[in-house]
Amino acid sequence: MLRYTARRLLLMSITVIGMVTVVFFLLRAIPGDPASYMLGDYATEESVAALKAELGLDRPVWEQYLGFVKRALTGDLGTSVVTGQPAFDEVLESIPWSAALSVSGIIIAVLAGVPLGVMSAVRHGTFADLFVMLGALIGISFPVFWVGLVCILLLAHEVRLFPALGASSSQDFFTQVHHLMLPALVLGFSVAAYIARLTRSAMLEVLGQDFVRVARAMGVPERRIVYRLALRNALIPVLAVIGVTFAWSLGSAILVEAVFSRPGLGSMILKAVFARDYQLVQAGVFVLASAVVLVNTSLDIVYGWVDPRVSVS
Amino acid sequence: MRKIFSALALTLSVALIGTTAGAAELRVRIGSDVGNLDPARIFGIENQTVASHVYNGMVKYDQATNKILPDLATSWSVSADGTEYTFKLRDGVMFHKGYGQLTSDDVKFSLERVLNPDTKSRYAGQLAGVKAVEAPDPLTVKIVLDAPNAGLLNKLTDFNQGWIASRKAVTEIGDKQYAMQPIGTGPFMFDKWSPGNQVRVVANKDHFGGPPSLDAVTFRIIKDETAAAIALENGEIDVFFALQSPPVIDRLKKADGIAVLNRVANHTINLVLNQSVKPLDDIRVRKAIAYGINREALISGYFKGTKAPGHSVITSSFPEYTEELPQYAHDPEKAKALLKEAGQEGFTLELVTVGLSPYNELVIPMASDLEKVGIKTKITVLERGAYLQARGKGDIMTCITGIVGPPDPDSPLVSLYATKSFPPGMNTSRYNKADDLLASAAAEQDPAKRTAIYQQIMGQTMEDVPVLPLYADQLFLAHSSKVKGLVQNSLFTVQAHTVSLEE
Amino acid sequence: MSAEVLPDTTADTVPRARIVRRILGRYLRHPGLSLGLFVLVLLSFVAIAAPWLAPHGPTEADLMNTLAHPSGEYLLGTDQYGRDILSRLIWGARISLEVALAVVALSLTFGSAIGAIAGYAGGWVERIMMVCNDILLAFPGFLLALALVAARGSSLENVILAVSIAYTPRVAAVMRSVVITIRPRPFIEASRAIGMSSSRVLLRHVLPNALPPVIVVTTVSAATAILAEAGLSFLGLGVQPPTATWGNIISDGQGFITSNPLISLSAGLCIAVTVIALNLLGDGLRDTLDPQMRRYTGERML
Repeated sequence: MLRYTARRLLLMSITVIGMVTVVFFLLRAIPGDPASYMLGDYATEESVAALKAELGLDRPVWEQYLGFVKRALTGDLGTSVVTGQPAFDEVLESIPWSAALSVSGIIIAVLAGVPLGVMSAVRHGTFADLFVMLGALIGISFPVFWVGLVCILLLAHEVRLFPALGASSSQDFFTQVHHLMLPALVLGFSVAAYIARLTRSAMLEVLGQDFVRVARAMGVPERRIVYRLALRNALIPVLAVIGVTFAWSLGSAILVEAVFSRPGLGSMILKAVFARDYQLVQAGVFVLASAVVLVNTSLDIVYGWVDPRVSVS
Repeated sequence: MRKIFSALALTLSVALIGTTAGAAELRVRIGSDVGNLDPARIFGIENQTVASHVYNGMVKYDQATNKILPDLATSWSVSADGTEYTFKLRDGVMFHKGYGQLTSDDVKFSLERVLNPDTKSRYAGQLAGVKAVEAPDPLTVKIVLDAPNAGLLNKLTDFNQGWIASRKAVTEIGDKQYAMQPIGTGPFMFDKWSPGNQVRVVANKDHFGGPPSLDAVTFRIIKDETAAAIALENGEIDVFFALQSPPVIDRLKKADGIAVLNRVANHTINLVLNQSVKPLDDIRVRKAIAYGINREALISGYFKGTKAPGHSVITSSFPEYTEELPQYAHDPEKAKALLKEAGQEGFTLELVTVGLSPYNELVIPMASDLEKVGIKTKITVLERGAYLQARGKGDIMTCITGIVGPPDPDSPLVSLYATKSFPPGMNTSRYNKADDLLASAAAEQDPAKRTAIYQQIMGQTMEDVPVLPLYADQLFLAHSSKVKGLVQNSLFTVQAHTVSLEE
Repeated sequence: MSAEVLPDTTADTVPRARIVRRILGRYLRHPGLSLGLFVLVLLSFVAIAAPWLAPHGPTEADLMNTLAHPSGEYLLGTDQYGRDILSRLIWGARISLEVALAVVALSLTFGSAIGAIAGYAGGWVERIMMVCNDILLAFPGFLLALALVAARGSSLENVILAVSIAYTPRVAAVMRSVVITIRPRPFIEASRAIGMSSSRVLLRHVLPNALPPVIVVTTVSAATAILAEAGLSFLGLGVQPPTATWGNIISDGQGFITSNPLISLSAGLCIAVTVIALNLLGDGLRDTLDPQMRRYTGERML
């Protein structure tokens, strides 16, 4: 078990380093460097070259990479070329926003998705099942930003139930929650749809297995079979999928943030990509990658504890 | 349970900004995030809007009339030959946050910093004729020019390179870090920037022009105009800055409790035709393009009348404005005839534009018009960085450009038509026939004669059409009726010094 | 029918036509599958026949008729350039299906090749390949596609390439897990024992047997590709305007959502219908093909 945990942790660090490396080289492949971007309309070749030298962009890419790794190991993720502030500071400012959106989105998704999925499986073939599965199909099929647009139109404009903006300048907790609700619901809806589908198929599979049949034959009450036996077994793949869902929700969050004018890691990375602010993109991806890998690894470890078969194979 | 809740609230509030209950706080929508508030390196209307609250210039434009008024300088005199300007500074002006009193040394520092090649300021060219900035005593600034330049005061107004920063602040905070920790003398002090969310400035109670009636201004970053309009209607924001979308304008005009202001800007949006690329070196081809594009329909159809016609690059907000110039009313037949005469039927025109609305959109009807007169078109939309790079190389066939700036005729005319404005700069049409006239305008001290020379330049450049003005920009601003005393300027900024909020 | 394709020698014992009929019959009796297939066939027809079906050109601007409400001439109204919405939707079907098809082709080819080689080779080759794959998998796919498009500039080709690269690791992961379970089966060992080369075993036996679950995953990745294209266009990073794509139509109409909601709503519905059809097809295939494969495909679909 310990060996399994150690192996997961090693793999986790390799993955984070790998992702940051991929992004580092990807950014250098982008045409249009920060130097000419910053100098704007009046850039001369000399001034661009001078600024590039100042930013260290004139050196070979591998040398830049080594320097980046060396500094990153000491906790220095560089300085934003646009604002002159440490890139990590801006990332830190974005984290609470992203965390609040993703976590509340996933909580909504799990709270809605798992019970609906279970119900659908238990009442397999009924109208309730059809209804839930139709809803789930819609949830995974509509573009998330489009759902957001429609929600703003209906719930913030026609019926003024929610604010149109996903963030407030007020410090008041409840005001902030009020602003968060619509974006979280929109994000949660699409994730819930996915979790419901998955829970249903996992449940159906477990319900069809031999030990359930045996339990039925032995006269164990149906409620007990569903909630004690089947659900516990079905939740294992669902648990594993929450990790995948987390990464995916961070991708969708970019779109949700864009629709609701909400700050966050996704929109920060998008802004930085447009401004060619390499340091900022790198810092953002580093934090994002760490979060994704951390969540996945801890779920993998939990998964290993719950289901001993995993660590053996 | 309560503990968990307050812990949650604490986590959430890490990114948020404290607001005192009941304080008069104006909430202004800006379209994208700020990033650099250093006057030497500032760019973009969002940064400029925030900076205009923090800084003052030596002189300023009257927001309503564009007349030049004293600001940090109370008076000035010009030597007989027009090459020496002496300014008297206001006494007792204090920089924010304890950075001391404003002296002539800060002015010298600010202007020299822009001129210093190491700063890599994009505004160095604006002060190009300045030979020296001297500080004979703490309240006197002397600016010595290479040659007389009647437009100098325009360069020293409270905008971009004209904003005065504190030497002490820039040195102590650091040249790069200063970008987001600006120290000025303006009516508001920079308070806090929350990336992607908002920027806040708070009232400077000691401002020499009197304390603002607001306690603070928060600039909220809201990209989408429809969302911003709903937010304004719902009372989530008070001022909608940089309103552009015609249907949103239309909607807000009809809404209750909302006022929509508009004003012709100091800039036109232009199609720049690169004469160094064939067949655009042929004046007949350029004229054919001018006749071929239906600019009237662009304004009435696409912009729904929210823009004004561009008769030259000088808009009606300039005193030098005139319409007695060569005109190019939409005439497809004439365009076809000119193309035939030039033997250039069916050549391909590449329309290069930046991936920002409306510039990436308005090329669509233009291309459709040009196809109808027999010019094949190719639309290339480039992301901003790539666009600047391509334009900097100078070999792209066309580009879409507007010279946003003060109501100083030199600003568009020199930028677009002077040989020295490329490379680097905006004269990507490579026009080279206006240099003598531009020089004589700068030397002319008599305002009436100077205006006549400018109008001559306008006439000549509209005859040669190296640059086709597509429309004169018009600036829209919406605010709730709670907002009192907001004056719209013709620069693309909004300033809240005179604003008050009514409950 | 199991996922295994029987070895050639036994294939002729049952008449082929009867097998085909039996299989087809089962597919068509599945309501979701046949509905999905029907919608997709219809959409393909619309996409192919776009030049004849569309009443106007997709980029034909008419500035005298901008933002017109639905009328006899413009059935769904016009956008801010006076372009016919219906015609743009019809032409947009082309691009969306092109994106979906190209992404499926690319990610299926490369993903199953990578997954099959890794799964079949085993050992260090497998470990290294899978660590690389996991790195890419840990990335939110949309973010990776976004970064790639930003790196290469926005055009149809680059959007296809970026989305394919972002989703290939998912196909590879599924392929590998299927191959691992096939590898120890008796008929593979038998083929090896009679002296078939590794590449031959891989191509003739392993790949065909592993394909069904992978096909299910690629159906879903086609759906994801359409959504990704729309998302990129919404952020201004998609296929360049004035090309008509559903994503572009949504972002064109975004500014007019309160005055002319039909522009964005209709394009959003087109996307949803296509994606629903693809998902129905995917679900249907999963149900009718080997029910065991659910285990492989479920987790990796995103």
